[in-house]
Amino acid sequence: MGGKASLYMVLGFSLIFMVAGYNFSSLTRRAVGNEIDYFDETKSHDIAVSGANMAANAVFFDKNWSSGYNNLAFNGGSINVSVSHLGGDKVELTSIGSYQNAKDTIIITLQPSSFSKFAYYMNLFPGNHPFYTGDTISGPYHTQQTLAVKGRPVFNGKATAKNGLQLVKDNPKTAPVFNGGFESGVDVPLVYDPNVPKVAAQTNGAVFQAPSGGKIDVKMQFNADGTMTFKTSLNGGASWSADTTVNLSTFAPNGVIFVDKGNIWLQGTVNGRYTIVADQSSGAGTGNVYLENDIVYHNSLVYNNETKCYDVQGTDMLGIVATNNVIIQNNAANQNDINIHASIFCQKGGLILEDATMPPSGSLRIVGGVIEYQALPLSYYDNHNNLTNGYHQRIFYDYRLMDIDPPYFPPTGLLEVVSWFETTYFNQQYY
Amino acid sequence: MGFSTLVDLLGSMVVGGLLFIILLRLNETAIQNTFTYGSELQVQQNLVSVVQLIEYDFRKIGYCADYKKIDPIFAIIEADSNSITFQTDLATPGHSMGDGNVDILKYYLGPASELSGTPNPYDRKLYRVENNETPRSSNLGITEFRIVYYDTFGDTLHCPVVNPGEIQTMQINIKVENTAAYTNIYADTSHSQQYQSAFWRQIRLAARNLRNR
Repeated sequence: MGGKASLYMVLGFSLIFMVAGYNFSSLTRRAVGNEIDYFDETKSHDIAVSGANMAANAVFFDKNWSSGYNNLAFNGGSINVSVSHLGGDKVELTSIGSYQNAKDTIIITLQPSSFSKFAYYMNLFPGNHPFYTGDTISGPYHTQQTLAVKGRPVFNGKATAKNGLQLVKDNPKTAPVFNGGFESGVDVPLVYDPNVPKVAAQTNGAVFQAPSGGKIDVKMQFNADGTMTFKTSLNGGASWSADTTVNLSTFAPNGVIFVDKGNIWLQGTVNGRYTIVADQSSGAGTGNVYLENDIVYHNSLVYNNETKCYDVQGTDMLGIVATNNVIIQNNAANQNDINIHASIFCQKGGLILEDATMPPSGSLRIVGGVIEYQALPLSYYDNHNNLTNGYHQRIFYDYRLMDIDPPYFPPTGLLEVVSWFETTYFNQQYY
Repeated sequence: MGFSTLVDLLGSMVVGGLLFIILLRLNETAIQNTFTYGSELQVQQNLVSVVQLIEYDFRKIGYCADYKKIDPIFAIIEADSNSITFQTDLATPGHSMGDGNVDILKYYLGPASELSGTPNPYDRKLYRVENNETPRSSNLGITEFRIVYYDTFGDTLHCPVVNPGEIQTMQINIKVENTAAYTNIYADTSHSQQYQSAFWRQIRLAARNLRNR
């Protein structure tokens, strides 16, 4: 009797312990499964990101790269990358990272970039003139040298520099504001092939060329009604042709106006999308654009409180491309403010004053951007911070330039990432 | 015979009583352990669910299928230590990569008083709001949702962040506890000993679209 009871008791307790033990081991198993599952997801995501970065790197080196990766073993998993070449030279990369049962996908889009996307590009950075407190760069910025900052300048776009950042000592401590982040080691050389806009102008635009192959200068006045009034002078002579007014939609249908070996004198009101190019022959005597007065859009501008810039209420857009300099003339019109609505590109020079001794002339307001080989002063101040010569200057970035550029404006020749899409793999096995 | 039987009976009662007490204690311990382990699993599952959703949404800060409609600099609209509002492009039926229209997504932590009905005094609701629609949440036992923001130099930005455009990376801290604890009547246990918890930290989350262009 006692033996039987003991046996029942032992069996009963064993059963209870087995049930409880199974329950506990089940909980533990599910918890570990959960953890492993999350680990697999994270790992597959990281592998997909690595694949996307590797593919982007391959495309940066070779824009026509299309082989992708097929089951490339990587970190215990595998990478599959496919490449799609889209219209407008865009590239779409799809990277799938696999690890155990988990898969994750990254899809990134790259597009060719134009120099016009910069609010301010300096190939050479003026070593003794760091950006200082009060300076605001309202859009993307780049220099091919070291970006020097002092105090608290503000960069309202992504700032990049080939040779890093120099924080000049100051009191209080130098603390620049990078609202779009800063990236070092970015190489965007100032390269430009004038044959590209020249061929475009010859094909469906307008070309000013001296019959003898010599120098030609052109005075252009854009008119608000979509016409342009111009006159020309050959070989640097003092005599100019009579004014001619043309309808730009038929004169330069693709919007490219190319002056082959000469200078441009520019002013007026732009109605439409155009790029004017002053190409040089040799030396600094040609390839310059002289600003005689304001050059503005006929579309109205509205100040945007978010971007702290002006939004152009229309499609007017101007690119000014000079092989050498864009020069602000010292004349009566320019001595009382000057407004420039354009993206300015200077391959070998910069935006400069014709006369550094010109009187204090109010404000220089650019709605667009400046891309220059070398930044030169446009303002001179005395010890009391009073303007003695030149302008108070301000560049208001035209945010349309982030995605649209003036026709045949110089491209950087590089691709940029414009979209990065990530998914997250959900494995419901343990939930 | 009568006395011996009585002794046997008393002895059996004592042994049986001891066994019964052991059985009761065993039962109590088994229930407590089952609750504790079950709670730990639940806490872990809740945490993974929250983390997956947050990773899914936060990785797409500044993303839009039509990238021309979004500027990475203005992608984060508001940033505080336990709330964030940002631009993104949410998946819609038929558009798993987004419909190309910019959406506004907000995460914020509700007050602890909102869940005063649960035994855990610290649990709060984490709300997710799409485009100013009705805030949605469920009680997953979240007791901490804290974001630390860093600028391009890796320096911490003070909250609320005045210029959200400065944010380049962020640290996300989430702590989940079970909403009810098994009360151990034999011990004077602290809150952390009673409530199972799980903590997750993303040391540096860099939403890639913030660094575009």
